Amino acid sequence: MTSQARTGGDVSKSSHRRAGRTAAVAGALGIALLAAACSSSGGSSGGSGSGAATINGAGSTFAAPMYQQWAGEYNSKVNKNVQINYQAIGSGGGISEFTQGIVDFGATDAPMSANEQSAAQSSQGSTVLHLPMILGAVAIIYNLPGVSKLTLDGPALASIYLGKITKWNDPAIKKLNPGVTLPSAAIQPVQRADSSGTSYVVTSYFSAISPAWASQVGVSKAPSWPTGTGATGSSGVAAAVSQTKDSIGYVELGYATSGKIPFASLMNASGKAVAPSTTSVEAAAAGATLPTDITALKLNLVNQPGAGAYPLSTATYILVAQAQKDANKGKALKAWLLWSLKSPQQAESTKLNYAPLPTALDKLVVSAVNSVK
Amino acid sequence: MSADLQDAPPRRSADTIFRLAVASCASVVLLLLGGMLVRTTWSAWPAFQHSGIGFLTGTTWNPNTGTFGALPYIYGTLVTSVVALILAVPVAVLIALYLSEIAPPAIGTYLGYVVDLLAAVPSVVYGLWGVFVLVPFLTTYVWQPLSNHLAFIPIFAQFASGRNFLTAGLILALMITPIISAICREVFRTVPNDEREAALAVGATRWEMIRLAVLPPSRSGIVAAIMLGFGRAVGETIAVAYLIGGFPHITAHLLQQGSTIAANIALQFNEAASQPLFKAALIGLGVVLFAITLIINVAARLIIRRGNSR
Repeated sequence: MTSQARTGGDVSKSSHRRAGRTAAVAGALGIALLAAACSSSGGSSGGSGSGAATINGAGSTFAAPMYQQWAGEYNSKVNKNVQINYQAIGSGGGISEFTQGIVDFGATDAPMSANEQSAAQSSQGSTVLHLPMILGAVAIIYNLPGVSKLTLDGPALASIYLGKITKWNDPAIKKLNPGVTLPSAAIQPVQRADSSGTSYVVTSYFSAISPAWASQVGVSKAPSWPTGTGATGSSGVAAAVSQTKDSIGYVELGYATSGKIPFASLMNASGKAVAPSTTSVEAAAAGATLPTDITALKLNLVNQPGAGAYPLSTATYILVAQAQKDANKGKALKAWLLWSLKSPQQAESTKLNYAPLPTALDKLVVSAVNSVK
Repeated sequence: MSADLQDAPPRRSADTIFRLAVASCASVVLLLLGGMLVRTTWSAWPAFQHSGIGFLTGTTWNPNTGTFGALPYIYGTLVTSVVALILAVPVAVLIALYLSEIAPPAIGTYLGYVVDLLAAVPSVVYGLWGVFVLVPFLTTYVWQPLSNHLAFIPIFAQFASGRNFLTAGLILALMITPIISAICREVFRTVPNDEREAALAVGATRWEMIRLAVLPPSRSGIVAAIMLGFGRAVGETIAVAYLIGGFPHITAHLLQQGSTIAANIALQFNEAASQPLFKAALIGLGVVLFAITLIINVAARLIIRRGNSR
C-alpha cells in the first residue's frame, strides 16, 4: 500500500512537469508558426539596398526543376545580390498565390482562364503577362511487370480515364501493341487530386480527341474525374504508379526518367507512335501556330500535326505583372527572365528533359519581358 | 491556517481585477467561436443558396459545372473517423490502463513519454510514411488477401486501390491512439488511491479493482478523450489527402478510394481562388465540418450526463 501511495506522489509531480513541458512545446510551435507566417507574407516585400532583391515565385511542379536550377545559377554566376526563391506548389497554387500578391511571380502550365486573369489583373492593378519559358512533355507512366514497351493512343487513353476501358488486355490496347503480352488485370488509373497544370494538358488532349470526354468532363486543372485514384503533386502520382501494379498515370517527363518509371509512346495526329523527348516536343512546337500578341502569349501544343510530334506537349508559363509595384524588384525579375531566355540557358533545358522555346517564340517572349515596367 | 485567512486584509480590488481578467480571457473563446461560425456561414451563403438542401444531400461535386453535393465528403469523413475510433479506442484505453495501473512505475513513466512523443508527430510525417511505407505494405499483405478471402463481407469486396477508406482510417487510428491514451492515463490517475486500496482490501483482483474502482469514475473522462480523438480524426487533412485516393463517392466497399471534407478543402482551395461560388462552396464544406463536430460533441455530453444521473 505504501508503495502505491508513493507512486501516486511521483505521478502528480511528473504530471506537473509534463504540463510545463507541453506548454513550452506549444509555445515553441506557436513561435515557429508565427515566424513561418511572417516570412511568407513578408516575402513579397523583401529585398533592400541598391540592386539587391529577393524575388519569390511559386507554382508549377512541372517546371520546378528548371526554375530552381536557373535561380541557383543566376545567384551564383550572374548576380549575387539577387535571390530567387521558387516553391513548387502546383499550377493552381501558383495562380492563386500570385493573385493574392503573396509571390512576385506565378508559374503555371495551364494558361489562366478569363476569370483567373481578371482576378489577377484587378489585384495586381496591371495587365498580367503569360511568359512561356520552356516546353515540356507529359509522359504516360505505367506499372506492368514484364511489359517494357507500351503504345497507346488518345482515344484508348481517354477511355481508360473515362472508365470505359477497364482491362489491360482490352482489344483497343492489344491492337496498338502487337506481340506484347498484356495481362487481363484491371487498369488502375492514377490522377492528380490537386489543381494541376499537368491535368490541364492531359484533359486538353482528351477533349481534343474524344467527344465523350469533352462533353462529360472537359478541360480543367481540377476536373471531376469519372474514375481512378487521386494523388497529390507530380511526385505523388509518380509514387502511386511505381507502387501500384497495373496502374497508369501522367507526370512531366523528368519525373518519369528520374524515378525510372516506364512510360508509353503515343500515337500522334499523323498516326505515328512517338515517345516523349526533347526532340518530339520540339517537333510539336514546329507545327504549332504561334501567338502574336505579347500580352497573350498562350499556345496550344497538344495533338499537333507532324510525323515526329509528341501529342502531350506543352509550354509552361511564368506570370508577371506588366506594371511592377516595386521598381527595384521589377528590374531584378526582368533581368533574370531575360537571362533565362538566352540560348545557353534555354539549351540547358534539354538536360532536364524539357525543350527550349523555338527562336521565333523566344523573341516574342523577350519583347514581352521588355514591356515590363 | 484558518486564523491566517481571517486576519488577512480584504483585497477586493485585486480580486475584481483578477476576476475581470479571467472572465475576459474566457469570453475570447466564445467570441472566437461565434465569430468563426458567423463569418464562415456568411461567406458560404452563396453556395448554400445556390445548392439548397442539395448541398448536404447531393452526391455529385463538380465545380466545373457548378454542382455542389457534399454527401460523398461527409460520408468519407464519418467513415474514416469511425474506422479510426473502432481501431484506436480499445488499444488506447488498454495502453492507458497498463501505464497507470499495471506497469512498474519506471517503465510506465518512460513509456508515457513515448506515447506523448507519438502524439506530437506532425501529421505530414504520418502522411509521407503512409504513402511510401504503409500503402505498399498494406496493399500486398493485408488489403489484397482480405479482399481475396473475405469478399463475401461487403466492406472488403471489390478492392480497387491501396489508397482507400480503410488505409485513411488506419492512419487516423495511429494518429489518435496516443492522444486518447495520454488523456485516459491522466484521467485514471485522478482516481484516488484510497478507492483502489479499498477494492483490493475487500479481496478484489487487479482486474476487478480496475473494473470497480478505476473505470466507473473515469467514464466521462474517457468519453472526453474519445471526443478529442474524434475531433482530430474528423479534421485531419494532409495525411488523409495523401492516403484516401481523392475520389469522392459513396460505397460500402471500404477498399475503394474516397475523399473527406478536410482533404477536399485542402486539395481544391487553390483552384477555387478566382471562382467566387466555388470558394463559397469550399467554405460551406468547412461549416458542415464544424457542424459535425458540434453535433457529435453535444451528443457525447448528453450520453455522459444520462450515464451519470443513472
